Amino acid sequence: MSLVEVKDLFYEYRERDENGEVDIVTTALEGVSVNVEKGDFIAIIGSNGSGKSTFAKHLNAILKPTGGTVIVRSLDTSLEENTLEIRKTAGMVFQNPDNQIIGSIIEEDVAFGLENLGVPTDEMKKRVKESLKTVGMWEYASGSPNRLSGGQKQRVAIAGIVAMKPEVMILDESTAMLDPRGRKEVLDAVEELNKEEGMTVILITHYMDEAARAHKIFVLHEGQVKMSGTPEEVFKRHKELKEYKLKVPVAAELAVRLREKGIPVREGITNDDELVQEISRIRSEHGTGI
Amino acid sequence: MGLEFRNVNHTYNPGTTVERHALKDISFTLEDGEYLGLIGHTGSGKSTLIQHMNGLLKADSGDILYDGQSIYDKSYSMNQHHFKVGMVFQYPEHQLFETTVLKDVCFGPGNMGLSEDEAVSRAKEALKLVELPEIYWDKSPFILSGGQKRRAAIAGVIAMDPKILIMDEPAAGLDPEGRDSILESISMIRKERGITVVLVSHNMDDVAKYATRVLVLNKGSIYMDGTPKEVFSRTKELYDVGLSAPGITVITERLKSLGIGEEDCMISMDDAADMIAKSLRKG
Repeated sequence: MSLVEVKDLFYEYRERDENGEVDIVTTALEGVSVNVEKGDFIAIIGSNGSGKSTFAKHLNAILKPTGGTVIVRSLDTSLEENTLEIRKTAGMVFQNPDNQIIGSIIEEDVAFGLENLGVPTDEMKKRVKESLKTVGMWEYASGSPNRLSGGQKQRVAIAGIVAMKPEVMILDESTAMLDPRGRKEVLDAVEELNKEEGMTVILITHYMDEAARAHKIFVLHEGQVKMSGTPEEVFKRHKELKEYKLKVPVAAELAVRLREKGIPVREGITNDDELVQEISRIRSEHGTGI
Repeated sequence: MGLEFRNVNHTYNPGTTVERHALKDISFTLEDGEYLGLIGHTGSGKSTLIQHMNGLLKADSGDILYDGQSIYDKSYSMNQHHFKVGMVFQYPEHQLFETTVLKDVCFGPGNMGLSEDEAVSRAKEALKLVELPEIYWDKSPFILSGGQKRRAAIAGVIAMDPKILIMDEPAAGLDPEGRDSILESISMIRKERGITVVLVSHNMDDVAKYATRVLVLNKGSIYMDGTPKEVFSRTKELYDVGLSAPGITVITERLKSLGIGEEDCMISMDDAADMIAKSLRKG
């Protein structure tokens, strides 16, 4: 059984008029099926209004399906009695770092979730220290969160999630408001959690270079999964992505331009390393013969 | 002429334990017609700087001159200055409030004391410029998509006919197509109206593509000031202050260190592809 099993998920937003009658029905998700295995690093990309955030909100039972099922670690999200257990299993990091920090001291902020779960003090201290170390923020533990940069705040928010030892972490455009260094810090921390701790990661993003770091990408469009596969498989289909208002990473786009100019760059380039390697290979193989 | 900063300083909460010197001795002139990309890490002073440009914040010391006259002069109308220097804040769509898109866009010009007819005609022109289709003009702004709401909010500022348009992360949270299309619209408006644009952004690719000049702030001081090529060629120094170079610059620098392509600092995809192809053909 997969860690997360989303089967034929439908979700309708219903707006009611002043008499409480259903006025407008908007279908945000239309038959989405996604399986996530333990230890996976999944990226979900899609245009504004494609249903990405609605999908994410189903994974920790903030929203409940109007059709189909969402099962997280064998727990059905539509059952009220499962909600607490599901939220312990699936931790969510949101977009705005300032809305997620509540403690006046960083270590207190990280401990907040643990206190709510009733974790004993000794265990709590241990977990706070471990999780702040994991995101590289331990040296700030006794300081105030107010003076941190956006990237540092997001890493503290991630530490708060990590401390609760969830099995899956969902990041809903968590780097959208950060400067370049902040984005890199957060992505590196997430990648390390996935590699070193085996944390399952679901990353929702508008940045194609971030999605390229995942093992598998799902493309949502108008509430449906239109593509899924490795970054290589997805970014190969660059024309189709454009129809879904998306792009490919810069390295992949440059590879396409070079192929158009008759340079034999292979298909399926997704990042800088691969492109630089490929161009070096071409030069050493072809010399002046292109 | 343009907008000139002379040794501008600004300190938040002076004399308290949370005192912060946010702008340190800032001097530069924003020339008419420029497209200025303003970059810097979180907390570097970008927001404080742009709020000085339109007079929302006042300098503690130093002076700011618009077309040669101090904006702090008694004879200078600060009220008019707010209209001359239009500001589009982050996530401006959160400030939409009227019952229809057109009424919302009329709000600014209405405040300028224009007649209703004049306000409506300016609003319509602005909505055309931001390319928001006419079918939405009489609809509630709240039924628009994220990208369309953003366009409506920008139209509200354009309708006041600013000489300088400041935008704080106008493309934040938009998908790649929405991002490109809103930035293309802004570029087009700049050309059509001959206005000055200031773009605050964390996206180096966008700044490289659109700006004619780039100003880099670090901890409240000007760290670099130059053309996109001049600024982005100093990649290492940019990393030092929490920034980065455009994706295309990073790739071409790596290739150059391997002996592929000679030119310094590529910031355009087309130029980079040409250069690499040429270099490979030459062997």
